[in-house]
Parts: sequence; C-alpha cells; structure tokens
Amino acid sequence: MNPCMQSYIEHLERDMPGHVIRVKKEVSPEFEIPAILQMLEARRKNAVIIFEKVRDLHGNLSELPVVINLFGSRERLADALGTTVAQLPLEYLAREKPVPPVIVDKSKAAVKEVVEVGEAADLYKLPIVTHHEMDLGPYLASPSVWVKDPETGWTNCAILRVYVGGPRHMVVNFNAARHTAHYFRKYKAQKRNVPTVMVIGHHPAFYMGGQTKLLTDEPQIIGGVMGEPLELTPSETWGDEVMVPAQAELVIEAEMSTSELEIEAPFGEYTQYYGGQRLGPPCEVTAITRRKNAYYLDIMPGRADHMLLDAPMIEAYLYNRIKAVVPGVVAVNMPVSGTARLHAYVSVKKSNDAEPKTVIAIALSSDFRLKHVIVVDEDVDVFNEEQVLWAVATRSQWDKDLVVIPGMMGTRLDPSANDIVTTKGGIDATQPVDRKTFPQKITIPQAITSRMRLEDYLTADVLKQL
Amino acid sequence: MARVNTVTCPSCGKDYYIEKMLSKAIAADPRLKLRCPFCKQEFTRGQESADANTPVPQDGH
Repeated sequence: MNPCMQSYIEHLERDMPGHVIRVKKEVSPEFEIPAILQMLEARRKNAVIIFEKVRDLHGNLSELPVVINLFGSRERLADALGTTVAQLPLEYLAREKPVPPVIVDKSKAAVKEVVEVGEAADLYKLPIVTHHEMDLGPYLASPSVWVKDPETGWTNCAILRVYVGGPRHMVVNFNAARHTAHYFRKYKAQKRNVPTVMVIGHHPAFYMGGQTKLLTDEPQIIGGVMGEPLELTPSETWGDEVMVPAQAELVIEAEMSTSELEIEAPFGEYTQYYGGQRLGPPCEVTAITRRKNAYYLDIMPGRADHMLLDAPMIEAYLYNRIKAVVPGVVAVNMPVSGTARLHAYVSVKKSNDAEPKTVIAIALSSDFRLKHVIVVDEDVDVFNEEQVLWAVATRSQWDKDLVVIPGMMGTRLDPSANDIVTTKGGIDATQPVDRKTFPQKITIPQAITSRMRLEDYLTADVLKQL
Repeated sequence: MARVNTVTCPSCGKDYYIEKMLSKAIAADPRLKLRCPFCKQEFTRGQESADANTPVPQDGH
C-alpha cells in the first residue's frame, strides 16, 4: 500500500518530536487557523499544526481535523524523500522518473471509505479555511487538481486555488501559460466540460511528484518520486475513464465548465499581496469520497507552507537546465525571502568569466516567475543569505556585473510588474577566474582551528548559555 | 507600472482589488456582476460609487 498522509503524520509524531503540534481547543476555519499559524511562525516554530476541533461551513463540528503547514519546513520535505536538505533537489532529480501506476479495486481504496454522490456531496460539510481579510471567502488551498489531456491521455497535476461558492459550487483559478490551461483549451475546442479531480491530502512525496515541471503523465512521476507505483482506483463520476489516487485523504470530483466564467478572488497569494478579483471557470461537484478518519489538508497561502512545497522542484529543474550548459553549477536556492519563486541564488565553480551571465540567462528564461538571479562562487553557501549578500557586496560592480532584461514574461501576481510583462535581471557576484587578480578571503590557519575546541577554553556554565 | 484597479462596494463602501483583465471585461459588458469580499453582495459597475475603478499606486513599487 502507498505511503499516505496518515502514515507520514504518525512517523513525524513518533520519530521527529517537535514537528507536530496538536490544537485541541475549538477554532473557527475563518481566519483563526491562519492566525494561530502566524503566531507560531513569529516564535520561529514551523511545525505541522493539527486542529482537532473545527467547525464546518454549516457551523457544525467537522468530522475532519484540519492539518496545516505540512510543507513549511525543508527538513520535512527532505525527510519525506529520505534525504538531507542539501541533497533534496538532487534526490528529487534522481527520482523524477516515470513509474506506471497500478489500478486497485475500490474495496482496497481508503479514499472510498465514505462515498457521497450527487446532492449528498456537500462541500459545506468540510472545514474549509478562509485565510486572509480580503479573500472572497473559503478556498481550497491545497488541492492537487488533476486534468486529463483529452488527446494524449496524460494527466496534469497542479496545486490550484479553488473558491468555494456553494455546497456544490466552486470557481477554479489557473494561469493561462500553464499545463492545466493547455488541456482546458483542448476540452473547450471539443465543446466539452473538463472532468476534474481534486486531491486533498496525501503523503508529501505525492505532492512533490505532482509539482514536476515536465510535461508528461504526472501520476507516473508521482510514482517515481514516491518510490513505488501510485495506486489509482476508478472515479465515481467517470469510472475507468478518470482515475483517482486510492490512498488519498479526500477526493472531490467535479465538472469544470468550458463555456462560462464566474467571479473569484481577491485571494492572498504567494507574493504576500492580494491577487485581484478575476474570472475563472465554475465547477459543479459530482462526488466527494474520503477516508472515514480523513484529515483535511490546508496550505497557508503566502507562507513557507505554500512557498517551500514548490521550491525544491524548481531548484532541481533549474539545476538540470543550467548544468546542460554550465557543468560547474553547484547548487540552486529559491529563498523564501524571494517568495521561493521570484529570486534564485546559484553557485558555480566557473571555468570562464562568461558563465555567470550565461547562468542568469538560462535561469531567467526557464521559469516565467523567476525575476532576479544572483550567481556566486562555490565557496558561498546559497542557503545562507548573509553569505550571498556578502558576495554581492564584495564581488560585484554593477556597471559590468548587472544584467537587465526588460519586456520578459512574468507573473501578474508580482505587483511591480506591468500585468504579465516584467523586467528581469541578475547579478554576477563571482570572483574572476584568474584568482591572482582578486584578494583572498580572510581565514584563520586551519592548523589552529582543527586542534582547538571551545570546551577547552570555556566553563560548562558559559557553554550552556551559548 | 505598479497598479491595481480598485472598486468600491456600493453596499458596504469598502474598497477591494480587481484584475486589469476583469476591468476590461466589465468595460465590454457592464452587466457583469462583481462580488464584494467583505459583505458578499453582488453588484454591477453602474451601482459603484463615483470614485470606483480608479487605478491607484501599490506599495512596494
């Protein structure tokens, strides 16, 4: 049986103490869950938070506890793939291979323990969270939205925001440049609604696999990243034509209209600004299936929970693209300070002085959201922002080390951009290849530091205070 | 150019943001209904206040 969210939370509580906090007091899904997360983040706590008593949208106590911040720690993402934080992007690349799914009978699918079809399928029975003050209302913030290409049969998986406008009514938002839109247009051309599956809650490796940047049949990549074939089972609405993940917490099946548009948003986005009200395709729920003891997974928009989920996959993708041209690339970091989308720090062991600007050009054209790239030498840890900014301070001269490219495609969620047109840029903060022309970084002789230990010079009381 | 389009809800008087593309859609079809995120009331462009839909600079630019 596939690893699942239930088994992962059990593992965290057993093996990684401090990584799960349970809130037993009742909370409202309207703003109170985000408020508690914000207060814990202010105390530098990035644990998964499980809210055990939450009201549903009818005002009744929900059967489903709410889980938030599952993805809010690089340590947990690395743990989910059995690796270290430093090795996470490379481990992801090693696993990002297609493994065909297996079909299991509905009787062996945990997600079919509770099946509600048609009028019985009621979104308001879920503890759906309203996150920020100007949000239009409750939003599904964590669904892995599955749409199948009507021509190739490939399924795209994308985490999309979904406005809940009624017990069976939703409005979806997706970017016109992304794969969901690509498939949506094919259905529209065929004058058909889009069979849509929304997966809420699964093992973190499932979500990471679904964030692949490859245009392929993504459930196969999920299998690769999970390390075993993904178990699928027939949907309630379309049977064998559209499959759903068998060991998910909860699945919503819906028909997405290709002929109508409705209002959704404002919604607080990853940039930590509101995305404005816009039009999106409405969806009508046809079925909701779940585990009896399902968790309801929420992702906190605009926080590490939201940003980090995608960061290692973007880092892996950029690393691969850069390495094809600049083999000396060492590491890539999409820092949370840059929303894990708009900034990249790249370290290289360069072989010529043109490589840093080449790295900047490759990276900026590889992800439409990426806006600024800082390239540093291999002696700088890209996961340490103080070191990166030190390199900018001491190894760049902006009359020759700054690259500015106006008129590129960006994200309209960046409030400084002119809709989707943005100015991108990069800084070459590397030393010249000919190091004899550049001063040496200060060091203390290694012969001294390797033989000295603090314990030999400080008392136990002082050491305790450190 | 950093701009968001702001509308004022005729029911509760609060301002909120709409995307540039939605502004264009409203211009093409003034009957298009907007929904206020604060009071949840629907309204059309003709029901907005006189200051509605005025582009304003956004912080951070």
